[in-house]
Amino acid sequence: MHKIIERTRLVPNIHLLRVSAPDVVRKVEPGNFVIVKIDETAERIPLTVADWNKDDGTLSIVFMTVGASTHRLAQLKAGDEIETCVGPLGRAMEVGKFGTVVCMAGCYGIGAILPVARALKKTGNKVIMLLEAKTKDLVYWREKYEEFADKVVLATLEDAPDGKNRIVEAVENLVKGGEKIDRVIALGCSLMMMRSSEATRPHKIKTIVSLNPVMIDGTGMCGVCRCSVGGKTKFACVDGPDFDGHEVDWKQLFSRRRSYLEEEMRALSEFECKICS
Amino acid sequence: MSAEKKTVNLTVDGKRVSVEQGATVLDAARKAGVYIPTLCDHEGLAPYGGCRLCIVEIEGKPGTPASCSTPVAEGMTVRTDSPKVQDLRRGVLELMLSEHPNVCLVCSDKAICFDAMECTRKAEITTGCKTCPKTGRCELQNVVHHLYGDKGPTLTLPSKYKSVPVERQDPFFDRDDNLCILCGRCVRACGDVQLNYVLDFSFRGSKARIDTPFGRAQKDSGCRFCGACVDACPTGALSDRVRRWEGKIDSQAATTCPYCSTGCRLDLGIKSGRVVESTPRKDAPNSGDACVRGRFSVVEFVRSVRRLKFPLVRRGGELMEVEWETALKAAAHGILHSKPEKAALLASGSLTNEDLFAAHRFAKEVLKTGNMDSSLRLSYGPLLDGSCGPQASIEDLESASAVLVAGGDPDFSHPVLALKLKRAAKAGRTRLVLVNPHATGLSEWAEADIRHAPGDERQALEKAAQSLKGSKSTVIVFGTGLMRRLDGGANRDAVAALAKTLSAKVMPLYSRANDRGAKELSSFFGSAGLRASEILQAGRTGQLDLLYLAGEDMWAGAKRPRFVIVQDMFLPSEAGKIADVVFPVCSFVETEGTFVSLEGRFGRSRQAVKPLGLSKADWEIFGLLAKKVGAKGLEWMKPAEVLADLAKTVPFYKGVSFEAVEKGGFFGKTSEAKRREEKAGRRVLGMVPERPDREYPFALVAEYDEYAHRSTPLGAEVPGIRHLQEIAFVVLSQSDAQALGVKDGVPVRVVSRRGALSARASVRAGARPGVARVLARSGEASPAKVLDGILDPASKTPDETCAVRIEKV
Repeated sequence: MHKIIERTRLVPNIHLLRVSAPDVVRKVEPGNFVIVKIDETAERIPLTVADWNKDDGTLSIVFMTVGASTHRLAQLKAGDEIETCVGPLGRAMEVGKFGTVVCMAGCYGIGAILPVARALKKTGNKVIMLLEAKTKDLVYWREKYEEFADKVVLATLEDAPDGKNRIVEAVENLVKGGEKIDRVIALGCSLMMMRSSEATRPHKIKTIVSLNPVMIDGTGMCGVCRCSVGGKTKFACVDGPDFDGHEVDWKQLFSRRRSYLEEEMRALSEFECKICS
Repeated sequence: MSAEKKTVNLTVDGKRVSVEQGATVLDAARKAGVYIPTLCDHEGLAPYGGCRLCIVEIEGKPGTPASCSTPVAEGMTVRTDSPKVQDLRRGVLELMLSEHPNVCLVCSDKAICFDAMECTRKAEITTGCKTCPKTGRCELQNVVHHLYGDKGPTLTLPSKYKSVPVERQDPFFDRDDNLCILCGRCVRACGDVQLNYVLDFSFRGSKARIDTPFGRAQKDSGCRFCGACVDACPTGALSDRVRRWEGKIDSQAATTCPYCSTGCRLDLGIKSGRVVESTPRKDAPNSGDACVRGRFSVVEFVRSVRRLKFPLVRRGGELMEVEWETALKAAAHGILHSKPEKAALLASGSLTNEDLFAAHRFAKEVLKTGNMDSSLRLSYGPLLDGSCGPQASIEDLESASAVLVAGGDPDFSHPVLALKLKRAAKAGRTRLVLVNPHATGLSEWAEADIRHAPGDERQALEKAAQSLKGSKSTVIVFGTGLMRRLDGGANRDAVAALAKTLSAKVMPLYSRANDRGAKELSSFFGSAGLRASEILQAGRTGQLDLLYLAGEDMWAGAKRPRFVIVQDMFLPSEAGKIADVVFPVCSFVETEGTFVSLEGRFGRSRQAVKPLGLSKADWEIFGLLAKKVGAKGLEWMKPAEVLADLAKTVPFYKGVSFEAVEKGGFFGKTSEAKRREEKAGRRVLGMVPERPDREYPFALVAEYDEYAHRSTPLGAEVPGIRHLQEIAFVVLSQSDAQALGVKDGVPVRVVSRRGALSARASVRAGARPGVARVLARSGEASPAKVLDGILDPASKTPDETCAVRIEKV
């Protein structure tokens, strides 16, 4: 059992969960994920680790409510316990001395990218944060990034000129502004990561994306999280979750993510009916 | 005013159109096929002129009047889409959008967003169309599309999220004020149409929002959860929780509500082979109205995980899932080893005509027994033995100059019917006279509310007759409060006599959807053997070889029938413990059939989805089992064949077919049934109901009208229903509670000469002193424990009153 230390809503639909998991904290590296399970019969939810504290053994996770299980997770409060928090899973993010790195993050990724950005800065890179959200009110943790990043740029609808894509627009602005970008790391929803890869392709900037396919065991056994990268089948859980965004078969990823939509709806409507009953 | 309305000619965007005088410019535009964007306008609501989107230019008139509230005039020339008008509309719309999450409307990714990220639209808080339960069905989206096209708007005003917490403390739906555009449609649907007045505007300016009195939960503000507000909402502000994330439906199927005898017409919304919503249809008899059962209890009930999917057979004390063949064999064995006079079948009034017809024939031809009855006998027994007068239709009820409601609370049992009465009373068309021991939901609308002690029904009816004298057209509506009495037969005759003197028509408030069909069919087949109450008694005392329960439940007593067959959607809570074979029955959305409503109108229940698991319709199971036993003539292939057989066999249902029912309003010619009834009418005099005395000072009134379908209380499968019924409560008046020292909500014991029940006290203002009222069908609070089967000797209807005392626990 893992005790919940804190559960706060950061912005609508995005929550911070701080949970006691000393064994995971001992080994965790930037880019790893954990699988949490609320109780014995609950769904397994893979979530990227957003921060940790070696002293007290707590782990922070930022997640978005997208279905019955995450809705339940969002109702927990400090003091509650969850059955499982297993990890660290997946390979750690490659952190080297690249030069200028742009960290693009959207929705839950704004939280999940924090350890990576910090490690990149520590290694001596110039780190530019590009925080993407539909509106400014949906951006959180800006102050955390302003503490160490060389630059923090927002890409919201308020900043994008009429009809232009806000991520493409932000990348163009950076390039026009004279930034020589050596690497891009994108973390967020699938569409946002695809858009980031599209934005960097014309500039031939290596782009690493952290994929989020449907996943079950997280240890390479079930194969549910498979995706095509550079024409080869990869398992996001053990081969990733980080891949070259220019080589990912996005269409396949989108369609695989929709595989259980009907069942997800069913679970949600059952969950909804239990409210106030 | 002359009866004929004059026609007015006008031109809308160059199109000539003629409409009736009194119509609005908006009506005329719609008739001419011209689209005018609207948000506060809604079918069934009076013109409001609130949203200002339907503004038009009218030649010779200054400004831009709202077309929804401007009456037409001869020779008018209307322009609906001039640049000036469209510009003004965009301005109005932008003001609305500045307070409504709008990011998705202006996002460049909106075209691919839904395909790429459908899984992320199930967020807890709506921040844009993508996370909104109403997307694709939203009227605001439609208007934005009309005024801005595919590209979407460029907003010049700043956006402001209202940040009001979403109201999730009520059952069935959420209220998210952040999505509200203050069109007031819910307020008007709740007040003007449903006469419930729960919602209204509160606060002003940018803080204005829709709220209940004092900001209480809707369930604590008198809300009946009819769903009219949800259906009126143009945005996602009010959203039906069960269908919240389903998006657009694939198709619709028109059906009849199976939960009471009003016969309301519903549209079932189907998505990916599942029923996701049920909404009221505009046709008769409900004309767009619904109650909590039709609107919110269909989906959860038919989709419940506790539904029976496979046949069950008892082996070694446990019920095991088996193949149909095995279950049929086991049942056939039980039937072949029972004596006809010791076999009995009980079929619920929730079954369709087809099912009941098959059940009657099964009893007659396969079980070869006369012991076939329905629980209808337990509530309306006297009506099965004699007539109570000419039957009224709902139309008669709506146009009556006076309505007498006796021994029932249609506001609870038949809310749509009660709403019609309230409207008529409000408009001053109908005088409403009530006869009941206690206050009912209609009390505040009544001209006279005659309260009587239980047992004094006939004296109260006489009093009512005085105040109804001289009324031009009268309808007498009555419920189990007159029938479930020791002298129920005398009460029936009193109603019949009253109907005669007043030239009134009568309407019994049958509880189940097809109680009237059950009554008429049993009058055709005759009931020579044991009556329902006697069947249950015989079952409990071990005098039956075989008991077949189709949609009925039964208490096991010290002894039990030798073999019990149960046929139901859910395992009945009591009979499930003693069943030897259980057949899974498909729900009303999984098969076709017809119901006869309380006015005699046939309603069609339609198949919308595939049967769950291996479940089958009742008539099909009777057919299969008959074949297994070796009987012939019950092998129907589809419901239409059963109905055709029924139409051929039963003279007063001649001509009935699904097509005839569909065309609207097939009514059976039940004169023949009536003749049989009158012949059979008999009365036993000399029964004296138990009156309160010193030792037992309270008159207990037991009620069984809990919302239920077949043998299952709706509350068991639809948790929200529990908020609307005081089940397992004993209702006491304030003065009695004070004298007893009993507070609201505390547990009490109700003791009679025969037994005791436990319930919680509910202290209410409208309750009659000296009367204790209990509503429960089963469990610790079941009135059966204190009543102990005193029957009206003529109709064999159990009495539901007796003398009790209340004890503190």
